[in-house]
Amino acid sequence: MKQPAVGSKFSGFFLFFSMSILLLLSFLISLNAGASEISLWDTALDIVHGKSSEAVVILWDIRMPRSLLAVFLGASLGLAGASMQGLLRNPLAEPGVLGVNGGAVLGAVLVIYSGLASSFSLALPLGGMAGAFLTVLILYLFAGYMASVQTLILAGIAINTLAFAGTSLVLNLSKDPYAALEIVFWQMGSLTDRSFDHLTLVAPFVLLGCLLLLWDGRALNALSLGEEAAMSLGIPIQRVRFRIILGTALAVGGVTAVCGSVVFVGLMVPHLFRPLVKHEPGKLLGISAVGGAVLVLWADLFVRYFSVGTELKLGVLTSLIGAPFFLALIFKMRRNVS
Amino acid sequence: MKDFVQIRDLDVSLDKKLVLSKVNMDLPRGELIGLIGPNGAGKSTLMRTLLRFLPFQKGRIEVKGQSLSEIHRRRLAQYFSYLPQGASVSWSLTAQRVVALGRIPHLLPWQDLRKIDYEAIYNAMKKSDVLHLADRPMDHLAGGEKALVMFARVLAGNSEMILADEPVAGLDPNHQIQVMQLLKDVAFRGSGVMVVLHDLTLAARFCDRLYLLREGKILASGSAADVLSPDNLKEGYGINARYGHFDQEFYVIPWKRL
Repeated sequence: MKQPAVGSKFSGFFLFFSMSILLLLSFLISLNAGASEISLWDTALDIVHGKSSEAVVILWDIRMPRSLLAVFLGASLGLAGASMQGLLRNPLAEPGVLGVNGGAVLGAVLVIYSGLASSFSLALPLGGMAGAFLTVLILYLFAGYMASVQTLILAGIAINTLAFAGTSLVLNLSKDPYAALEIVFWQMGSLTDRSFDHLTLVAPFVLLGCLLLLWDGRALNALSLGEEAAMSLGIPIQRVRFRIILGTALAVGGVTAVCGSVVFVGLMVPHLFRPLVKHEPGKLLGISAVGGAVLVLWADLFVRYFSVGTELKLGVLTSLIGAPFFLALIFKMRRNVS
Repeated sequence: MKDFVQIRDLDVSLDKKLVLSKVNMDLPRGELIGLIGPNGAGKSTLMRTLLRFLPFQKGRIEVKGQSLSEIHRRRLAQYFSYLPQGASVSWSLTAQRVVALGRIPHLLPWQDLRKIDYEAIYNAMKKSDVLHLADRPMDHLAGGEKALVMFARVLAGNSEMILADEPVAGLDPNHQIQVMQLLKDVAFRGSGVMVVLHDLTLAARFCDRLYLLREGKILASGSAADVLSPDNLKEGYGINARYGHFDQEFYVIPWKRL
């Protein structure tokens, strides 16, 4: 009997395996990169033996949180992007469509504006998380639990616009030019000077969010037949939608609260891997998380390498790569239609 | 013995408007049951109520003697498989992967396709004559091929009853007859099949039993010759028809508006 699907399962495993190796290598390269030359191996031994040295401080307190956050950021954005595209059955969807990161940015910006940010270091990410959750709350309050996909997207657009307007208003009213500048720079998205405190604050949310997003691979496969066909296959569509939106709020809200707004990763990564998993939305999830992490690690390496004097912001770089990519995508889709 | 599905005094309202009223039906397995009637008569609503996409206000629906609302959704998916109207696939999935989706009601969460699943997929594709399309992406297939793959997806579910909403709309006559014949074969092998049709000629030729709906009520039910009588067509659709026999088979051709 003919069973070609067995072969594709193997190639899916091979792809995931090789991308995981690439992620590990990229992570080590990221740890190794920096102004001071330190030996990863010797420093790791020092850490294991509990010795403290300058190299340990650099590796453990400065580089490690940065590289780990890059992985968190990339994995969250890639995974949420793949989920959102699967849920909305639209290749142009990205984690931002529901307004989650817009809300996170507004929350964080309000914290900077109010001056709370300087009172304790975690005020900023906490504000961002609060913003992300309020967004989802408002989304469900207005669109309702039984909302259709169209209603959710429209409500998302409205909330996004509102959050952006709020952020602009804060900038507009800001009497302190220094605070305004800080807001503008923070919004651009960066991994610089983040500590383990930041990481441990958002790690539970991000991990839980990613777990929720990884849950519904089969449901997303079924959804490619349309919502009613998926329901007829026994997929509890409202629950799936709720899990994906909550997961996106937790994961993307979490990383945005700490890193600022990094866009286009969630849009690009699923596209790069979709042909490699034979266009299956379910299989795209895991690989998009790994691929997103690799992409952000390298983008951050690039940013660090080319930042001489003024820091080049990570979010600026991803937009610079992402926007032409987006245009190319539209160009390709236009050609397919005609 | 009770029929597979029993519908008693069913009322369904959409936006406070009564769409189905006092509907009674007994749907056995092993028959090709056609649901006909003018646009807006409530055919799709009836199907969607059976699939629990819509709530109903009054009456009772029982499947295998169990109240519809008490059936677990996984079990319900094993009872009914649904072929939506003009079904399309969002991503560029291969035909075989689409057919494999039909096995979802039989898999536990995270469970991979088993040997019996591959067998069901293979058999469904063979019966639907789409084995040669197995590795082709859906968006590269012609309309008729796509419809057959979607049919194979439904067939792979090995459900107890197939509910098909206008499965032949938009197909050429060759594929229309092929799909109707496939549905007939499924019924002949003992499964239930209920199909919404607009084509009265196909309905008369292939269905074992017809229900004619109009404005949410069942106007007539029974054999094609009874249901498609001049009086019923006049009242149901406002048309008359030409009738005939060929090889002892009854046929009907919608002819003129009244």
